Amino acid sequence: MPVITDDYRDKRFLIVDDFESFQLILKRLLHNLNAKNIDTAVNAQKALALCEEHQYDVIFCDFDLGKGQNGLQLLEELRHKKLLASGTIFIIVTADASRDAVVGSLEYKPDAYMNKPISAAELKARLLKSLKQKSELDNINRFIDSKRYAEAIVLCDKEINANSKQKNWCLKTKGQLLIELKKWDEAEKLYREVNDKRPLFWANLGLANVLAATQKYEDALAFYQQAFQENSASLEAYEGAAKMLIKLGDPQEAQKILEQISHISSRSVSRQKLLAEVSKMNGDFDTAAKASRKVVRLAENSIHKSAENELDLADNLTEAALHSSDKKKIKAYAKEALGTLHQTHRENADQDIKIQSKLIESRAYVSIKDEKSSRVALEAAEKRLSETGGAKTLRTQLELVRSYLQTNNKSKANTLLSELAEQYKDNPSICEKLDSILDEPVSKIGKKDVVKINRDGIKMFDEGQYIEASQCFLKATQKFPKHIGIRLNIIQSLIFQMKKSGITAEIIQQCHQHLSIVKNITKDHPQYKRYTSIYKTIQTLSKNVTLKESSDEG
Amino acid sequence: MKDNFDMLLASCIHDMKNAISLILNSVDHLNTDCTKDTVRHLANLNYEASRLNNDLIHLLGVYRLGQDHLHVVIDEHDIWEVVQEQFLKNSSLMEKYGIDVSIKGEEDEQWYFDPELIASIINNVLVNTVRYTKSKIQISLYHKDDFLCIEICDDGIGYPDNMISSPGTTEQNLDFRNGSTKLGLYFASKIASMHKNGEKAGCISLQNGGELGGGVFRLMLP
Repeated sequence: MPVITDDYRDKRFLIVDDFESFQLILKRLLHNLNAKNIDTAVNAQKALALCEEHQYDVIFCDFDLGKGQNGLQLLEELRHKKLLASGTIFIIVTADASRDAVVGSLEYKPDAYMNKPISAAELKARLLKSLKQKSELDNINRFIDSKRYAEAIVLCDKEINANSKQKNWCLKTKGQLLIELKKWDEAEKLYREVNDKRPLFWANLGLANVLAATQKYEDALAFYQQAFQENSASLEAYEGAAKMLIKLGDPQEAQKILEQISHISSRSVSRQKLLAEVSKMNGDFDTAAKASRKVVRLAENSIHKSAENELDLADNLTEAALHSSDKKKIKAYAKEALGTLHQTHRENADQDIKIQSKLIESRAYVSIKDEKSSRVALEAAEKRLSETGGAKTLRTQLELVRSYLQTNNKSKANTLLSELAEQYKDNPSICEKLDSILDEPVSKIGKKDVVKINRDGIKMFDEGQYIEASQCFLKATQKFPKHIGIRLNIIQSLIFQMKKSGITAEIIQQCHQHLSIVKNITKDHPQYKRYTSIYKTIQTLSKNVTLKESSDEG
Repeated sequence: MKDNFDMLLASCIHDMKNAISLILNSVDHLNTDCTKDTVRHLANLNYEASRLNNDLIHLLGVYRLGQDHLHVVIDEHDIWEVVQEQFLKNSSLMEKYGIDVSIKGEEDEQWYFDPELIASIINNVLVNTVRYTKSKIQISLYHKDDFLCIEICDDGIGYPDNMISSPGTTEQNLDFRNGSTKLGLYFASKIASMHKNGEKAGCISLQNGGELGGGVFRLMLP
């Protein structure tokens, strides 16, 4: 092991701070420690450029960098682009002691945090400590960098068994590595042993992650809840809980959680992606459009930027337009969708992306009843498809099906779907995707599922357990979001529930959301008559509720 | 609206803290070759700026407590290191006042606590003690009945009686040695009580006497 000294003459430093006076202070403190090589940057972008040119030994980075990326996001990007050597020390400097409690994955954690003001003596001690720690963990970090996790675990075990100073770090790291290696039992054992000694936030969270991965959703939910009650700044815990609620068939509660925590890590791309996904499930297309708009904006100039995000945005805007009855809104959504698509089409050379954007475009034109432009877009996509030898990715195949459906090419859509159902019949997760496109499932597994759910739900309904029945049907909409029968069953259960225990604005609101999802039902659909009768009932009930509320106020 | 106020308050305090950091670093830089009188003035400047800095941390902390946004995240950390770092943060202040600081206890001592919050409590007590001690401050780390005790003693005149009876409660009058508010002690007692282990919760206490014969601040963490 190399001897660690506080001789900094040969070390290269980088200071990232949007306040120039702070750069100067830190620079002076480092000069006093005989440091010679010190660079400075005022924002993340400049820091990235410098790191592309030089290999730094120590980087001091303010958490708050004004507009643009913050310190942790810079670190994430540097690690992602492999611009940091395994020996580089990254220290986050903050002005206020509350740090953004992103526990985050292994590779995105800084080596240390320091609070302003930083004194000379404190800086000296912290540098020495960080260098020492870095060198003690160097071998483990090298193995992790080269994804040799099993070897890293062996070294972690050594530190843990020796009860060394690095034991805590090694325990956390080992847990995450075991998860990476999908060694669920061992990971669970590690977290439970830590918790037996004393329940700790990170062990609760780790345990929840293991339980989620092994499909014990209810147990996982309980541990995620425990984790965020302990640390209300942990986005990871909230996101985990929301994901479990989706799995457990309660996407509405999941959306509530995600909307409640808008003050935490407001720049997180993952949270907005999850919100877009869940609000779409709930038929709340306005929120889905808003969230995916944020995804695109936040991902700009970062590792998260991708054409997929832009296509998702255009898709969600189009869905919002297709499901709205407000003409102004439809026009605005469609315009934004088309603008996004044209840009994506222009900026991406990838054939697949170009085809997908044309397909979504064809649907966006349907929302504003521009059938001619819709056909032109669809034909452009088909032309490219035949030139490049057919749909290459599942997404392209699915987009094609959806566009055929939206442009009244039902038979083409059905043929393609049944081909896909045959092709992917052994892949349950793809079958689920296929089944979610049409109002009736196409895969064998899906068809069986619908029969069972309907049987179970109707039994509860007949027994007068309306809430349970609506939950049973609601759970099924995860797999079959477009299934008109199931949606109508939910609404009907809710109506009976209100007859039993009174009308509430909240349930009415839920009914409207479910109705809006199936509002494009065609007259020749077998459920059409039922749809119109339920629609009328809800209209009447809505009037009652508004009357009641206005009389309450008066 | 509430979120806006939260943002405004946070960014305002952030800005003030930045300004104080600049002042403190400038004071440090000035600290060479000057008369005894100037050293005394610099020491005062250093002390008051450090106090302001702590007040701001507490103000934001207490506000976040009220909003339920301040949470104690407990993990295993090296308490010796945290204590040592708070001493180093204030070493030039101690030097200017000619105060001798010693730390007693086991190096590499690991315990369960929130390092940021406990550091801010220790820092606050250290800065305040500077004003009331004569020449010495001693920090001791030791175990007692499943608790870790962090004790900060001085050889000054000690705490007034009314503070000793109920440290950190809001009912006391405003006239005591920790400056004009009792925000610091209130914050310390809140944070200590949020450190829980099963049925046990942390606490603070004040005493007079101790090893150095002055005031004794004790923080106990389960």
